[in-house]
Amino acid sequence: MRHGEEETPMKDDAQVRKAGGVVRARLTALWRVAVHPVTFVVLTILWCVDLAGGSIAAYFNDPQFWQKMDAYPFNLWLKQVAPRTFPASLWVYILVVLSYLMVLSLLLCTVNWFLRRRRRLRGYAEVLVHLGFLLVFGGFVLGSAAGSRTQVVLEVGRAAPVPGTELSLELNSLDLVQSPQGRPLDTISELVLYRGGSHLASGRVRTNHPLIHASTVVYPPDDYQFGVTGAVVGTSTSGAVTLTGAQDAVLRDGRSLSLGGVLSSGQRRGNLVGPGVLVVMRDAAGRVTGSAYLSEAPGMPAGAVVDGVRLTLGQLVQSAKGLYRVHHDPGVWLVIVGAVVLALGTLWALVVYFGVLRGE
Amino acid sequence: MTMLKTTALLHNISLVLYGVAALLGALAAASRRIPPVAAFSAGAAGLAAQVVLLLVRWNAGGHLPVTGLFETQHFLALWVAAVALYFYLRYRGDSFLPAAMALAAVCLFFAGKGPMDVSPLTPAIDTPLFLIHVATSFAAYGLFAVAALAAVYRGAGLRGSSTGSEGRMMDESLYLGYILFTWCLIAGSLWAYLAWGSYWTWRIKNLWSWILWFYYSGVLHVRNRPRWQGWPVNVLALAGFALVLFTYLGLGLLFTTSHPLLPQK
Repeated sequence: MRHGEEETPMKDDAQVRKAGGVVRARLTALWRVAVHPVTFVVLTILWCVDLAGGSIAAYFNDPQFWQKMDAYPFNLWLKQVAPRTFPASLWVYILVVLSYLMVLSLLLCTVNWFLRRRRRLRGYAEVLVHLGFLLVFGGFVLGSAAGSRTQVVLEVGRAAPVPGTELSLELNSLDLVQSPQGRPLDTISELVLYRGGSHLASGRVRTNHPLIHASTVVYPPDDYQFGVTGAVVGTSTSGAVTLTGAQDAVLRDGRSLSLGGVLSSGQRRGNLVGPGVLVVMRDAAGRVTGSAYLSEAPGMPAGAVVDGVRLTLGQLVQSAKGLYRVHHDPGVWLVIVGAVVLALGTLWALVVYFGVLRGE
Repeated sequence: MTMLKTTALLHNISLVLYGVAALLGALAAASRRIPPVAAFSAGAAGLAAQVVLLLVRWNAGGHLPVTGLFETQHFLALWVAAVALYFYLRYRGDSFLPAAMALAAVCLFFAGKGPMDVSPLTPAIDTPLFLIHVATSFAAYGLFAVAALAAVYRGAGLRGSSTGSEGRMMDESLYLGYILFTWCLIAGSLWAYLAWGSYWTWRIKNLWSWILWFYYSGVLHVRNRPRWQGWPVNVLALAGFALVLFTYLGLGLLFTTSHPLLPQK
């Protein structure tokens, strides 16, 4: 065997060892950079600058930008709305990337803390704050990806399915809370939440007191209405009939009565004063043959003759309805646990701080 | 005496006393004839008047007085004054006292420009979470203001305390301010979840509050690192307070926010 042939494997081993050492050194350097507090600080500054500039630009582009964004879980907004507003939404994409990098830096820093098994009391406060924030972020990501936000319009005494879910919501009562001067302050709603007919939760909902079941929350109505929705009308040919927006009445001769509009108490349109209903008469072919406004308001007619039929207002059907928001956020409990851990971390930090003060 | 007259009287007393404390503190720093304790006493009396004022309004309104521009500026001034007095006792910060008292007086001066009446709580803010949120927020703002003031002393080479503890004063203010601001955000997020359906809302005031929190998170990470000592950390503390002012006043006055500074029509 020639000399060179003996030497080659040894040379290769040395090169491999040298290369391994270089890789290890580079990985160690990379790890040090990743877990270094300054890395987190640089990312934080970039995050702050991006959010500060982006938030102001977005506000001036469209003052309603934020309200629109709040209507969706974040991931849905990012997938469906952000592409339509690109490049104005570019800063949000950058924010997402920076957020993940920042969280990665924080995560590695926390892992590094556990690896080095620091035993300083003050260190526990820091690590709790880190863990708390990571949990909050995890909850936010989960809620953004798998959460939903929907709205349901409910009339008192009615139930309606919650769109996109197996849930349904029933409104048993809706009361307005007013100030002594009569200014509307709040509403109180009695709600029942069902899944496939099984009762899940029920309660009185008002501002700051939503109906909560697991990760589903029902909020008080953003918009509500108390007013006339229909009427019971006496007819000279077919007795009393009930008219609502969804219910017409067919008379014995084939003609029909329907609701052309309503005015609630205090409302006006032209010479017409509420509360009252506009009743429309149609022939069998559906052509309008006449109409009359019937009202309970003083000075307004409670009866009229339309196309030969005497109509008399029996009773106005009045009801209340509200627009309820139903939010489903599977990450919320992770966020709450994270917030508790974060709070514990800061409490620990405070205890340590006062301990240090006493020690001095 | 009506609540408004009592408020105006106590407000003016505390404003004058803080002004006197600032003046006496400055004179004491210039001449040994005036003992620093005179400035401390005037400041402590001003603080006592402010505490009585807030207690009177608490009693009248039935809730912690932290709603509206008048009360929040009082709360800010109260914390600036209280921390300065504490630093006086702990670090012999007699030279720091005049600047802090002047800052508290400026806060009260601007507070007095607006209406002083007690507004009833609307259902949305009638929750302990709101009160915790605002009280901790302004306590934190007060501490960040003191940190910025300490940074000015350090940057200008002024001695804020006889023991040379300006750095320690700044560090403590940043540390405690950050803890309180974290509680502010936790309470605010929980309140937002119960009232509006999400602990995180994409509203400009909320976003800037998080910017502030992340900013001070960054400051806390570098404040004790050797390379950041000296002017970098001073600049960070000053820039932080500029962010506080913009988040508190700038956003409320320039934008339509979820945290209006003035009563809504």
